[in-house]
Amino acid sequence: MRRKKGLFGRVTRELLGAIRIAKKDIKIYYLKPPVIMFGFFFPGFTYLAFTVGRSLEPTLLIPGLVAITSFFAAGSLGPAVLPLERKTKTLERLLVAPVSPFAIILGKTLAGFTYGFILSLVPLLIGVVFLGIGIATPILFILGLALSALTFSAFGILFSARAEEMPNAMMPMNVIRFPMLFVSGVFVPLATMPRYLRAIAYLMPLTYSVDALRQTVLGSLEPLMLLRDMAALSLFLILFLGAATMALRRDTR
Amino acid sequence: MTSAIVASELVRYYGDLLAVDHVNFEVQQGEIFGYLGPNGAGKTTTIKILTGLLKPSEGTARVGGYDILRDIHEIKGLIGIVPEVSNVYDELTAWDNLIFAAELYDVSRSEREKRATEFLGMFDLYDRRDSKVGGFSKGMKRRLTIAMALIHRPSILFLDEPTTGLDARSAVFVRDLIRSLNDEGITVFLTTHYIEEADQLCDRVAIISEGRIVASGAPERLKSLVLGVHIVEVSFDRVNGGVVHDLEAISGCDAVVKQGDKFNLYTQEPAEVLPGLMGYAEERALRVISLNTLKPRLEDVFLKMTAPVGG
Ligand SMILES: Nc1ncnc2c1ncn2[C@@H]1O[C@H](COP(=O)(O)OP(=O)(O)O)[C@@H](O)[C@H]1O
Ligand SMILES: [Mg+2]
Repeated sequence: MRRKKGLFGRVTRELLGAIRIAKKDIKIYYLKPPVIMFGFFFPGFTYLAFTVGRSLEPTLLIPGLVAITSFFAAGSLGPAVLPLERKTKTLERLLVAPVSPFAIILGKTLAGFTYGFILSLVPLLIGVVFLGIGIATPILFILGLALSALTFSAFGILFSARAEEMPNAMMPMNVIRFPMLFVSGVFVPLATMPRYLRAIAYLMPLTYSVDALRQTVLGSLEPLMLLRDMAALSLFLILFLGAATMALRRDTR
Repeated sequence: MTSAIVASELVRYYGDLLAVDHVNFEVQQGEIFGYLGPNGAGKTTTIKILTGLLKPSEGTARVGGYDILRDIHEIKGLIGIVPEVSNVYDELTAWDNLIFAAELYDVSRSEREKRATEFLGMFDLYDRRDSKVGGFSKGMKRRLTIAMALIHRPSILFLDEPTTGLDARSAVFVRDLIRSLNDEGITVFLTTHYIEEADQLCDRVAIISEGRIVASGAPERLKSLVLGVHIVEVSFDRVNGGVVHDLEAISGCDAVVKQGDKFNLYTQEPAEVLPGLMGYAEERALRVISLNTLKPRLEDVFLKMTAPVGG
């Protein structure tokens, strides 16, 4: 084994380990039925169900659709991956290898991120090509989307970090995912919501993602608000990664 | 020379259940050490503690000179692990499984492919390298699991019941492989509940029962320690009455048991009994059809040591 010394060496090694685990997960799990179902068809159908008969502006509709696609797609990998790895004992293989629990969690998060990011380009392309919307600040939009997909993926990983079976991860996660969908401002503007719902909305990462993507598409940039969105998403990301790492550590108690 | 593994007063509870109870042992570099015990004795728990998958409730151990509680990260690169269940990725090909295992241990790119090719050949899996592992037989998965455990060239190899559930041919393959790996200098720690396997394969054995080590030492020494006797088995062309009585009179013979057409002479000194036995046959004009010295079996030790108290 090659051993690079020092902090830089350690960080590179952990990152490399995470990327290799992500690569492997991408190879294995992208074609698993629950991943396809929750990642692809599901957001599409839900969205259609709620927007038919409603006339949302494409510039509001598309960023919302992009956000929930990345939300459902990125978050679905965890429940498909971790319980199965625990059951087949391949998780033990990772735990005894010279990679830290954090690198394992990060690797799985990256696999979900890649999936969520790529899938959410589908509604984006539909919007750009068929509905003719433009993206006012594309770089900020991509940044917001990337951060969203990372956070949502870590959310799914956290819910699966202790699960022995997929439903044990999927069910509780969906109990939170669906209400999140409705209070996040995708369908109903936050401004028209009762005060207590709005308070709940601000505890949900999806809310910040929707806001960030809408702002960057519309170009009606309020730098402070965008900064708030990014900061909130980053905070959720760190929280989810940290909690998931701690949960995984319990395996080796 | 430092010991490869030293376990000191290892204790492990699962809730209230005491699975490993103040276990001590030492494995020398370059030996095959057998951890022999019935199901539920605490073998897997011990391996998990030594490889960092579980923390001991009390006590500690050193592996490759490093402490499992303080330096598990150093240990991880030195050891290879073949768990009880073949934990391969069914959805990946044999090749991809090996490459991923090498990546996990940070083996350089050029080495990865070289070793993957080498191990696929050595484990008789080269022709199936591009097949998904899901379709492999139990024996093939076992071989691949061992190959994956070796890909980073560990100096200490842990195998948890490596031949359990395998067909006879695969089991022989695995045992031969363990021997040849050991010849190359790899220290082997293996658990088994097959007495024969421990007897044939291991330089030294520890017998564990209900979490406690009840005997340890070289298989031969264990046998003589517990039984202290050898058995001379003889059969003649004819059987006369009173043979048992006559044989018992031979100098050095402690007891005689008739088993079918054979007689088992129990003795501390087979070399003393043999001339007396041949003299007796000549004197009575009996022709010796077969003559064997039977070793006491490890099984006898095992049964004696792991029997419930009073049983
Ligand atoms: N995760 C666990 N939780 C509770 N009890 C366990 C667990 N793993 C093993 N045990 C118990 O600990 C004892 C030792 O188990 P184990 O080490 O697997 O034995 P062996 O490998 O020798 O068959 C058994 O009684 C077993 O039921
Ligand atoms: Mg076991």
